[in-house]
Amino acid sequence: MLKFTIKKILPFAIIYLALFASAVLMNYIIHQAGLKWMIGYLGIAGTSLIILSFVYSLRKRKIIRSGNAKVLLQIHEIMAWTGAMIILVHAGIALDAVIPRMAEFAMLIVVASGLTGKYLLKQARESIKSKRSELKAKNIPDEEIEKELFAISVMADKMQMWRQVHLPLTMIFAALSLLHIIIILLFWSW
Amino acid sequence: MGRNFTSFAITFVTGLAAILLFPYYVINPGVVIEDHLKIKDDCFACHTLGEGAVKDKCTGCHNLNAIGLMTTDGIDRKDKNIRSNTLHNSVPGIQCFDCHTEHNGLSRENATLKFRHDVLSGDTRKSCINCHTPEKPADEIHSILKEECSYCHYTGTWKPSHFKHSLLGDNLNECSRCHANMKPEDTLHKGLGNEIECVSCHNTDGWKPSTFDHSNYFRFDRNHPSNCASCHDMNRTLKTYTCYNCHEHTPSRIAKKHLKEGITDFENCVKCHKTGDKKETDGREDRRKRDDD
Repeated sequence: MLKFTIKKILPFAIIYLALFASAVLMNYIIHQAGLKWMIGYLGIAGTSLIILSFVYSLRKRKIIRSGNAKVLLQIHEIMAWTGAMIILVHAGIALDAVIPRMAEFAMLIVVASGLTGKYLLKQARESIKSKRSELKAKNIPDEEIEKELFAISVMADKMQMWRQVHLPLTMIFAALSLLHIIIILLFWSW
Repeated sequence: MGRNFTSFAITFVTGLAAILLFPYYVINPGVVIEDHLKIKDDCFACHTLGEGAVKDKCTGCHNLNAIGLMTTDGIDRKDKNIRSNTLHNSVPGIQCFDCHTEHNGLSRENATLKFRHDVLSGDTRKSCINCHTPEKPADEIHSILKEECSYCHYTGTWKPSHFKHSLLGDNLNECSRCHANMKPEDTLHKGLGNEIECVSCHNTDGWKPSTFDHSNYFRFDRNHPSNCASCHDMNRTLKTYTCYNCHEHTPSRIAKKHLKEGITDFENCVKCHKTGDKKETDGREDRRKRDDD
C-alpha cells in the first residue's frame, strides 16, 4: 500500500503542493521587487492562461481540427496549472468578498480534479502497454501506434466517468469567475 | 453538454441573486469604516458603474472646502484641522482614492494610504511650512535658516538631511551658535579663547582633518620632537609654552646672548625662532631695528 502511494499518488500530490509553494515564492518575489501593485492585474494573466489552455478542449471536441491532441493536452495541463498558480498569488490580496473566494476554492478543486484525471489517464496508458507490443508485432508504424494508444486511453471508462465530474466543476469555477470579473468591471476604477 | 451548462447556469444565477439580495456580504471586498456603515448596502453611494469610486461621489458628502473644519453634516468641528483643510484644497486635481481607500476595516486609520507629496502641485509642495509649521524644530540652526526646508530635507523622510553650511550666509563663522556643546574639552581646545574662531583650523566640510599646523608656530626636528609636555604645561593650556625646560636654554644664557646682539624683546622665542636651527631666524633684523628705535 505504501509503495503504491509513493509510486502512484505522491507525484500528483507533489504537483498539487507545488502549486501553493510556487505561489508563495512568486508572492515573495513580487513583494521584494516592490511590484505589489501588479498583484491585482495577475488575475487577468492567470485567467488568460486558463482560457488559452482550453484550446485542447476545442480540439478534442473537433471544434478546431488541427493540432496534436496529446501535445495540446500537455499544454492544457501546464497552462492551467500556471494560470491557477498566478491566480493564487492574485487571491492573496486577502479581501473578504465571498464570490472571488468561492471562485478560488472552485479553482483549487478543479486543479485537484485535473490531476486526478491525469492519474487515471496514466493508469489507462499503463494498462494498455501490452496492446502496444501487440500492435508492434503487426508492423504498424510507431506514429500510428501512438495515436491509437492515446485514443484508447482517453476513451477508457474511468476517464468517461471522471469527465462527468471535471467538466461540471470547471463550469462552476467559470461561472464564479465570470461573476467576479463582471463585478470588478463594474465597480473597479480602471 | 447539458450537465455542464446546468452547472454553469445554476451557479451563475444563484450567485447573481445573492449579489442583488446581499451585496455587502457577497461582493464587498472588506469591512467599510464605521462612519460608512450606514451606506454599506448602497454600493452606488460611492461607486459609479465602470468608473469606480470617483471623486464626485466622495465630495457629494465631503465638501472639499470644509474638510477638517466641518463634519459632513455641516457642523463645525471642535478639533479643527487646518492642515487637513489646506492639504485637501491644494490637491483639487487628484482622485480621493489616490490617497484614501475603503473596505479595509472599521477604523478610519485604515482608510488612509501612505500620503505621497508628489500629489501636491508644484507651489504647494515647495511651501512645506504651510503644513509643517508645528514640526519646525525650535533649535538654533532652524531659527537662523530662512531658506525652504527642501534645501536640506526630502519629502520622503526628515532624515537624512543634506545640510550645507553655505546656507548660513553671514552666520557661517558663528560656529558656537550650533556647535557650543561639541567643542572638545581637551587641553588644546580648552585653552583657546573666544577670539580664535573654529574656522582657524577647521572647515565646514568636516571636523577632520583640521588645518592646524604646528609648523606655523614651531617646526619639530630631531632635537625638538613633538612631545607636547616638553614645552607646554599640559595641566593648563597649550597656548603658553616655554623653551626653558631644556638645559640648552637657560634664562640667563639666553638673555646674555640676545642682549649681546642688542635684542631686548626675547621672551616670546618662537616669534623669531620658528625652528631649532640657529641660522633660520625670522625677524631678527626687524627686531634689532625696532629695539634700536
